[in-house]
Amino acid sequence: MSSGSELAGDAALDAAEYALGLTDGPARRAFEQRLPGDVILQAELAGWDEDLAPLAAAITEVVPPQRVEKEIQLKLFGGPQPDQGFWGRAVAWQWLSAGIAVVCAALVLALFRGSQAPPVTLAPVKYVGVLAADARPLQYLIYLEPAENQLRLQRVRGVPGSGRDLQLWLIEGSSDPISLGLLPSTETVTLPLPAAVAQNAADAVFTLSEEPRGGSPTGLISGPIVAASGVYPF
Amino acid sequence: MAYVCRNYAGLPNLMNHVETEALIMRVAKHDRAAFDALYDLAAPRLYGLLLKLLGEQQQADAALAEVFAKIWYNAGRYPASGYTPVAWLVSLARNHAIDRRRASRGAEAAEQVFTLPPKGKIAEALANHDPAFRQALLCAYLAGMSYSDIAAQTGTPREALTNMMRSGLAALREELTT
Repeated sequence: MSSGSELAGDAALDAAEYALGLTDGPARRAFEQRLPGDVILQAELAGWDEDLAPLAAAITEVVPPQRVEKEIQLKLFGGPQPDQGFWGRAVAWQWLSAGIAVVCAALVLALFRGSQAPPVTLAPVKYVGVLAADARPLQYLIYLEPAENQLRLQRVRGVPGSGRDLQLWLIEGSSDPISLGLLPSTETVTLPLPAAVAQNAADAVFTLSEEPRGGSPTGLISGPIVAASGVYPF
Repeated sequence: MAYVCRNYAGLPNLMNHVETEALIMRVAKHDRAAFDALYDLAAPRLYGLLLKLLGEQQQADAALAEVFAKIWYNAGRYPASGYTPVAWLVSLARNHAIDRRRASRGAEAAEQVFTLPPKGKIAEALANHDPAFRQALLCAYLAGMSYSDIAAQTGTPREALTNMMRSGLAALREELTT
């Protein structure tokens, strides 16, 4: 919701009525027609949707019948995926822990792209992501340049902890993580990538783990995962 | 990979924005494993909501399938929406259910009394509002009732109801933004 201390204007109240679903029929459709060209209205609606969403916690969760998931998979994919079991899904979770990074990545993309759509669509040559730690203020921007076979990191927030090393990993699918090296204490670092790794890195997940001095003794992630992020074209 | 067991032995929580957001972003890349994980995570919350909003299991089943199809196809739009992941998912499900309900003129809303969630800024703000406003807001948000539905159920003239709601919403907005 946009800030402001004066009485809410019509846009705010119209957005509230829409977010709540109070209006129906023509009034609801009229609001939807106004929305694409009205950034104030969009901001008001987003604000109300955010503010109201916690009310959904008042509703008891209900596990849907299994046939509903099967129907979804049939409609979207032509059938269920081969059974992955619990750990298969757990791997998906392990991959996907990053969150704040995505919002930051979107902001970074917005900053780089500006408001104008490119006149010609070209294959993206650079990718950006954000590694943001959940538990402490530590954040790195990732710039992947596959054509240059390199990855650049810039620390934008926080400092690495003392006594432990931060080790960067790349995880492709269900393969074992590939170590990309230890992060130095400098604010920027450029890491060379093997060509084969660089070409597929845009579809992988970058993960930062905290390891003993000198890096993981096992060659695999041995310490706690501090942050993870995919990268996105810009 | 042993670290999977160590770090992800517990089931994730929909309200953990970090994990939910990361899943949506993977779904945007059409990652099916992420879609399955997001379904496990979000379907019970969204299905409970759809059951309340639509009032019939058959309708809720169909709506849930439609909502997850929308999630699959529209996840790429999520980053530009500016929403937190839970608000994005809940809004998507609610808007879909409201449109479905209004299009089919389905089940009449049963008389319901909702209680506020135990915590949160919105709950705390609403707790201090007039009970009639609070209950009308909850009936709209959680049961999909429109002005017409609420007016018919409570016997309140439509204009008086609209005035009460807009006045209450203006005050609520002030409280939420200060």
